[in-house]
Amino acid sequence: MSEFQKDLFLRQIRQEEEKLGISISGSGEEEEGVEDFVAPLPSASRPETRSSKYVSDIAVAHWSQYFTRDDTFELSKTKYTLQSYYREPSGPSKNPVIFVAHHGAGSSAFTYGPLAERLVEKFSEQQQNDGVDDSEIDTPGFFAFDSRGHGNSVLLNRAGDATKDDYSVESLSADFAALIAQFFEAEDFQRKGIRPSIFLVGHSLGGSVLTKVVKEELIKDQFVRRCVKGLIMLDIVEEIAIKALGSMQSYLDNRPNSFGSLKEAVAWHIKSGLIHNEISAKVSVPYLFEQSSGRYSWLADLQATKPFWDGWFRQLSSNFISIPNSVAKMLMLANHDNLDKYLMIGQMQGKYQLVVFHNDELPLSSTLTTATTTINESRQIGHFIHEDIPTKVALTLMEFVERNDISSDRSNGNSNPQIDFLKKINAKWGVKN
Amino acid sequence: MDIDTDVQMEDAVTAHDDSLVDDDHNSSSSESFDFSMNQKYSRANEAPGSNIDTLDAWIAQLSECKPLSEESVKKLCNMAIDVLKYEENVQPVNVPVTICGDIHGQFHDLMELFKIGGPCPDTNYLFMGDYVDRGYYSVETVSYLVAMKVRYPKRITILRGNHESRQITQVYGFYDECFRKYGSASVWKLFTDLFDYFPITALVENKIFCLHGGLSPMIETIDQVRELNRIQEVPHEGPMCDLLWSDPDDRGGWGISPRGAGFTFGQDISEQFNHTNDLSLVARAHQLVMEGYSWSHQDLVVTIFSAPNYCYRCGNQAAIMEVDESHERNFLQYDPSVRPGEPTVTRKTPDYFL
Repeated sequence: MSEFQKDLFLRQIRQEEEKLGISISGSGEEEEGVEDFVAPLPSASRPETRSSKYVSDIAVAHWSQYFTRDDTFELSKTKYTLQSYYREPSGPSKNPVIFVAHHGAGSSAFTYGPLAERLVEKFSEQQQNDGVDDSEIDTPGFFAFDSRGHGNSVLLNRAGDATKDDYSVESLSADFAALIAQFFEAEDFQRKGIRPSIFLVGHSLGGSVLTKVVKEELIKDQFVRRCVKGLIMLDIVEEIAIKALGSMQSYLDNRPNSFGSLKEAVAWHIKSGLIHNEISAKVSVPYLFEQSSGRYSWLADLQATKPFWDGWFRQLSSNFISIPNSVAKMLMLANHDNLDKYLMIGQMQGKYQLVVFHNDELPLSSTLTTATTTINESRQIGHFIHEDIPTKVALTLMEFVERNDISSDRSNGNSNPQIDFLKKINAKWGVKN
Repeated sequence: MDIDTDVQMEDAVTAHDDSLVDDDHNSSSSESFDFSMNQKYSRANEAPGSNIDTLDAWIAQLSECKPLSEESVKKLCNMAIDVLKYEENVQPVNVPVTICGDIHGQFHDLMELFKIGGPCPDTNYLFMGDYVDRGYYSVETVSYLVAMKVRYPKRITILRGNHESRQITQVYGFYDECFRKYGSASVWKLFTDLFDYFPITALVENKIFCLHGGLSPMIETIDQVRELNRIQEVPHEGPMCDLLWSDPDDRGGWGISPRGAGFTFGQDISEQFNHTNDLSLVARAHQLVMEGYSWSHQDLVVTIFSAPNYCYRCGNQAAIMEVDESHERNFLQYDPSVRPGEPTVTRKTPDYFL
């Protein structure tokens, strides 16, 4: 059987299994043991009834499977409390790479669970292949959080009624700028002599928020701001997003208000084509719901965000391409290089790196601008690209970091090969620094 | 198979019908084509007599923006390999010549270019790559230019751009377009195999060094370009990759390219390269410039971009650069050609924005 036939066959089996409520084929290409894992959810006001309820339902991945810490941050200005999840970097480097991610509207920090895991895996593999001793291997950190009105942050602020129902991109950007500053403070990087290389990752609306943060220099602390080395937007193009807003209301009107089980909720996300990778969906989808009267209903009230849709993506493209090169930029898209005017001009002037992942049957199933890898993940790709193909996205991010993290020395006092190379060629050409 | 929704399906169906018509129309000349001729005329100034009729018929058909049959493309590509494989990595070109930048499947704008610059072969042309992807008529554009190259090998030079690659064309439209117009990937395969033979640079009268992208830190002398093995897919890194990917920059020295491939090079680098190689100018394409051409590094480097209103949305002018017998340069700018029946830009809108 070809890979494709095999996939098709497995998929059919799984569909049948789903109908029958059994599993004989396993959960997919990448066994994670999600099925067997039953554990309580994070702290705070998360209802505790969950774990016991899942006997006939899917298991919810415990946060500690993807992150090492779950901290809450009360933003000093707004008193709004945000739920964060942090996978700490490991290794001897004084300049660890830390991805700081912002999810899109209606999503949560757990949209990044599989990606965070894959990044650590791939960075480790790469260094092992380079012959780095196990004790000297640096793995990247990953910081994600539930933005206002999303995920556990909803529950954290419900009692104090601190939600002001302000979902403007301005407020979301201010939240982020405050959060990253407080995160730096809490980690006490500067005093510890640690200068992390921060790569911002924003999916959809998150990409718009982070672009605003960088473009408008909303991070006031110079140390923090200078640590930001890169900005990556996942599947967001201003013109397309604004067009899509037109059909947003009907999308909200037509989606179910609640589900009888998390399994149903996951199945709905797969069936409606929102997420194509079942393993990822089982990680992220449960964190979108709260349980009440035996039903699972959405934590995020997207209808309440409607008054702010208009401003969410305004000037995103022109802002993105006008960010100076000191912050390296990448745009990752699913299926189409559907760029609007400003992104097209910017791309054709070489202002950022564009990576388009494709659904197709060719062996070259992804193109990392110039390099190509073949990895069997979901064959279908959609808007939640980092959930559909977390390994490919992780490899692309790793390549991007290697290329653009020229801030400083890398692990264990070894110098950065990229800087060495530039120094060498510039010296060869007699370039004065 | 992922269909490029940029183009309305009506367009695809029409195009395919045309290629079927072409099969009937050309069947007699196709049958009489002698394949063994290929080996013999490779260094000739013009294609041998029996091929000229075939080529002229193909060019006439293509100039109406009608794609050739798959069988004809196969013959054309075989003929082209026999011409291009004898060209050099640094293909010498004489003045007068008109130098052009990116075309990207904007066939009607290419026709406009020939109107403005003068018809080929009366005017000599040098194209610096990127014939395919993004525009709606990559098949017709590259077929036309390759047919012209085979018909008038000494009158037209076609260099390789970073889009003349298997990997890039799978993402930016040429693969999808071939699939749509021919029902399979075979024409895409024929063309991408042919692209490996395209020369990567040209040298006009030993004075103007022409290439798609820019300089490479691994290339100090033009002789080093001559030593490269170019008959391959565009590599991910290294000198051949750089020549097709690099950009000039305001910062001095060599820098990391924000594109993710190639390098940026400063004026100090251009000064050194031009001095070492006794050049007056580096002419390159690769970057969209709103006026169609743009000087950098105090006139040591010029960027030429020949796709007006790039991808039907960028609002830029296009330009070509004439170099006459006395090495005088003259830029001709032009706007998009106006034509009826242009497919409207209908782009896919997702039904969610989350």
